[in-house]
Amino acid sequence: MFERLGIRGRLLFAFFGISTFAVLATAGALYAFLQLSQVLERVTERRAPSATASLELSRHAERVAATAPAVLASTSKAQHSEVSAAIRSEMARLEELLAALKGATLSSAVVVEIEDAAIGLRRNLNALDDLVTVRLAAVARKDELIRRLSATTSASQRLVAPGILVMSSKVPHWRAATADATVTPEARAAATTDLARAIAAYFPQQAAQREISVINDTLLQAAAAPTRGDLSLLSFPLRRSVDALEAVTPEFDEQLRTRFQQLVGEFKALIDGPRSIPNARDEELAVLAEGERLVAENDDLSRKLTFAVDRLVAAAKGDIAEASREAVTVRSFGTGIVLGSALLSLLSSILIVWLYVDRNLLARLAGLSRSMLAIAAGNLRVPLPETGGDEIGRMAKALRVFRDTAIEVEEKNLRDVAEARQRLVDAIESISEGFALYDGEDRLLLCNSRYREILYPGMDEAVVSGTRFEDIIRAAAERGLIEDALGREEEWIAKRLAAHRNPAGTLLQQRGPDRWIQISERRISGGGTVAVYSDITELKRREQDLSEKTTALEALSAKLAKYLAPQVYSSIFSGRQDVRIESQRKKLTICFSDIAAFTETTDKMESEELTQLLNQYLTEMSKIALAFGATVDKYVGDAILMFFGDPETRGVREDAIACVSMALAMQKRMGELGAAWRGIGIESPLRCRIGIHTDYCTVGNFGSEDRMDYTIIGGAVNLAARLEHEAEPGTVLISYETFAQVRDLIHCEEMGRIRVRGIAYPVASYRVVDFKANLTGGSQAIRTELPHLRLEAEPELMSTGEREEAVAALRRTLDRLCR
Amino acid sequence: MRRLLAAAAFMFVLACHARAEVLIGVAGPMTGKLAWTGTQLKRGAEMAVAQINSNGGVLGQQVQLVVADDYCDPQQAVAAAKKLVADGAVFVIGHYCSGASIPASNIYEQAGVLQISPSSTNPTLTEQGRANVFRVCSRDDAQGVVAGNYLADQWGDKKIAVLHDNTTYGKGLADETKKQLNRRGVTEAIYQSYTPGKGDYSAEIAALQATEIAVLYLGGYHTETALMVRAARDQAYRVQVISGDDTATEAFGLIAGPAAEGTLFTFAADPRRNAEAAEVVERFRAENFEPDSWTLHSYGAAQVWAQAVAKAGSLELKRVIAALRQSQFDTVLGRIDFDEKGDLTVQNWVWYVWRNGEYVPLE
Repeated sequence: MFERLGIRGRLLFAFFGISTFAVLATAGALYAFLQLSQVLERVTERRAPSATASLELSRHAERVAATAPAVLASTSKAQHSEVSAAIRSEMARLEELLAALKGATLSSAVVVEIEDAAIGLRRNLNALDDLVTVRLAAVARKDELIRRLSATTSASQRLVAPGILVMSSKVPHWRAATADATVTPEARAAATTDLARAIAAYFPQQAAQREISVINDTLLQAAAAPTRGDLSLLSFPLRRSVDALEAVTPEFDEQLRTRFQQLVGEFKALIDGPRSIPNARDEELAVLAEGERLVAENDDLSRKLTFAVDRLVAAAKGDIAEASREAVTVRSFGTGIVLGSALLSLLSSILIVWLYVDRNLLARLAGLSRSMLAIAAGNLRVPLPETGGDEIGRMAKALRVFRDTAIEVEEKNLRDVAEARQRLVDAIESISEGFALYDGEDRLLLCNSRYREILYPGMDEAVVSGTRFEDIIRAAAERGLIEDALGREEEWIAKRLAAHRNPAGTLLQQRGPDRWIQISERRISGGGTVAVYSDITELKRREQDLSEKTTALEALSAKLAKYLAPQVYSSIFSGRQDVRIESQRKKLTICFSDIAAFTETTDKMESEELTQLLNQYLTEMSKIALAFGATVDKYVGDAILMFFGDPETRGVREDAIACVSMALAMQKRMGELGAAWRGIGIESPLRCRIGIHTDYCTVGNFGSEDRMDYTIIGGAVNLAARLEHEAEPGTVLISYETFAQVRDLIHCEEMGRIRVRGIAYPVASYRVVDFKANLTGGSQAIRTELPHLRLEAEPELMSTGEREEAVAALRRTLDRLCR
Repeated sequence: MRRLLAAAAFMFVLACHARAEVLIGVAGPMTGKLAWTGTQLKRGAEMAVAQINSNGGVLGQQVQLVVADDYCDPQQAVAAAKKLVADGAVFVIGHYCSGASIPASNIYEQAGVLQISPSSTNPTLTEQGRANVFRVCSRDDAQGVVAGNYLADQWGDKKIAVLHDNTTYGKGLADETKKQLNRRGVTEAIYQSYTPGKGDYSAEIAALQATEIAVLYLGGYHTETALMVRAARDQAYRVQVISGDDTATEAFGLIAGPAAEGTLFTFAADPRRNAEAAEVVERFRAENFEPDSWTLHSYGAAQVWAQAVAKAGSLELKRVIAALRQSQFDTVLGRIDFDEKGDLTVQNWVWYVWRNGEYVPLE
């Protein structure tokens, strides 16, 4: 029957069984609680209210009794009415509670007792209230009397004060009279009499004052006398003092006497009679005694009340205890039912789960899961549970199908892997370079035959999969295959291993005297290393040939350079300038130098000496020219042609300045060389002439395709040569164009105009004197520039004649200006 | 124990209720040689407060009186004023002496307390421009004019001496009198001061007798005046003594004895003779207390305050001052009102003479 239900039906059936037992247990518990609540209701609704009401009643009774003394102690009307209102409200609440209790409680005898006590308390309190009103009136009357006493006493003190003043005013007079010898005995006696009279007049006042203070003190005592006996004791000294006061009064001045008599009357009234202080105190004491009696009675009543209430409370407590006992019985019964049904329910659940769910369902599921886990772990040949009609049986069937498929897939995968591996080996074999793959632990994983061939010929037994890289290279090094490692194997192995572990670019390895292998290693993800080995012996050999040829070429070009200007050489070899026939126009500063009367001077010299002299001269000049950046165009015998501005220019002005500076330096050097030459027998020193001109020229390569020359051509070259020719030996002559460029820095003298062939007009020429900076401070020019007047004079440079001429010209000018 | 606690709790509640009272002060010389007049102020104030309270208090609150003794000393007066301010008094009757009232007024002004002096006559008190200061007595400049005129009229051709005790009140009054006397063309023979508080003034009187002074005007308090009058009689020196308002006290008669006879002085019109005061005077006499001197002025000051508060409807100082300035008040001193300075608008000084141990208006 169960087979037909399936797992769902069977589980539902089991749950229903368990739930039925649980419902049964709950029903039992519900019944028990119902019983318990009924008992509790009986306790709270019937017994507790009467008990709490009794307790509250007792509390109020106690409070009433406690407040009663406060009523008696109140000292003002307001205070009294407040206390009495409070006590009344307490009392009202008490009576209210009593009425409530009467209907609720069972022990009516106790309630009657309480009621009697409460009525007594109420009556008592009313009496106390009336008494306090009387007492307050008595206290007020007494206070008023004491105030009067104080006023009367102070008035009497005031009356006595003038007497003291008068008496003391006599004393100085008497003292003066007795001390002064010139005073007559009669006058002295009169002063003494005067003083004595004043003293005599004051004595009765003093006596009166004493009696008054006695009366005051005694009356104050009386006002606070604790008992009536004390009061009667005080009346004797009071009467005596009044008698004494009356006896002394007639001795006063008339004016004072009237006042005193009034006061004595006042004191008498305060001492005796219905308006007296003792009388007021007596009344107060009587009231207090009555009050205390009432308070004591109150206490008694309240105690009675409390006692009765205590009994009531005790009865209520007994009731509550009984109810509690009942509740306990019901509760234990209920607990039994609940526990029993819970136990039954638990037992039935265990049986159902153990006998049915576990055996029938869970055991089969566990078998299935074991098989699944084994298949997942890779064991495809594990035995499978039986198949069946229910859900678990169907799952077993599915698992069987799954397992068969898995076996099929596994076999196919193995085939694929073998195929792929073969393809990889073929690919590696087909490349011309050596190839090796090392795993994370540096063991050879894979290599091609080319690797064995170029790196380890004859070492096939050592180079197999699984050999460590270190072992392979160690074997190679020991066999002497590696040139670098010869004689220092260990050192080389350590270095090679370091390079292998942290590959950086390619590595070159020498094998044999002229065999080179390039190694490039790379780490791959996953910790292995790939290495590719190329035989580069041929490449290396070719490189060496090329380097030899280059060295020869460089030596050749160094020799060639000496025939060319350095600038030209460097711009050609650096490739900045092509060696082609082409030219361009540029503004250049051209310098022409020559030795004056060279032929005459050297005529007598031997050819060897002349060569040496000329070479020394030219070397020195060229050195200076190079230092200033001049391009030396050519040497023509003893003449040198140089220019500035090509192939590099610093600007026309800077070029001109550099050129003139160079000329000055050359002249200076010539002076120094002259001294040296004289030493070797040249009588008249060689003196140099230099001409400089700045103008546009054509510069570039001139000549044929086979032979060309880097030079300049143009009229400017001729003009420079002409200026050189015109220059005096040892000087530098420059054209106006150059002068215009350098005039700010270099001082020059105008030398007149010269004619040049090919130029239609005469050319202004200037002799270079020196740098302005080198000239003395005094040689500064006078310059003035005004509208219609321009003056420029350099007196320091003038000759005497020139000065005279200049003075005459300026004087003429002055004469015309002053006219 | 529980009973005791409950009783204590009730007492505490009642004590709290008893606090809802208005506090006012009375300040003057309650001890010392001027204790007589200080007591007059105190009794006047007490009687007035009792009357106010029996009529329902001010603004429904009961009034409580605090007494402060200033000993008629300027410094003690400041201390007394501070004590009253600290107690929480909203109004002070006092002080008695001008020399005490003037320094105390500063303290009251700062604390916002109203001051009405029943007896300080020196003009300076109300000339300081303090809004909180009033007085129910006339000023000494008026008193001096009355005294100076009388001296000039009666004894213009006699030798007159003007003496003072160097107190604010005494010197102020003597100077006002001398000013008026001189204005009337009469020059005094002697103008000098004496030391107050001594027991005997026979030397001063002997000196006056030697210069044959016929009329002696004294600016000072009653004790010294009485002793001087007495000394003159003892020396059989017949001199007419004239003094100011402080002479109007029974103590003068008691000290001077028979020598008081014939002493002249100026004083406010005796309020005991006012019809409005008759009932109050009876009440004083029923307690064997004669409300002479400034007693009724003290009573009147309290009346003025109570009426002003009722009119203002508040205890706030500004509103009470406004009420004081704007209204007229019916008091035991008659119907009175105040000017802007706080002085009475009607200044009234009357001549009195001592006859048979009491002072009576001069016929």
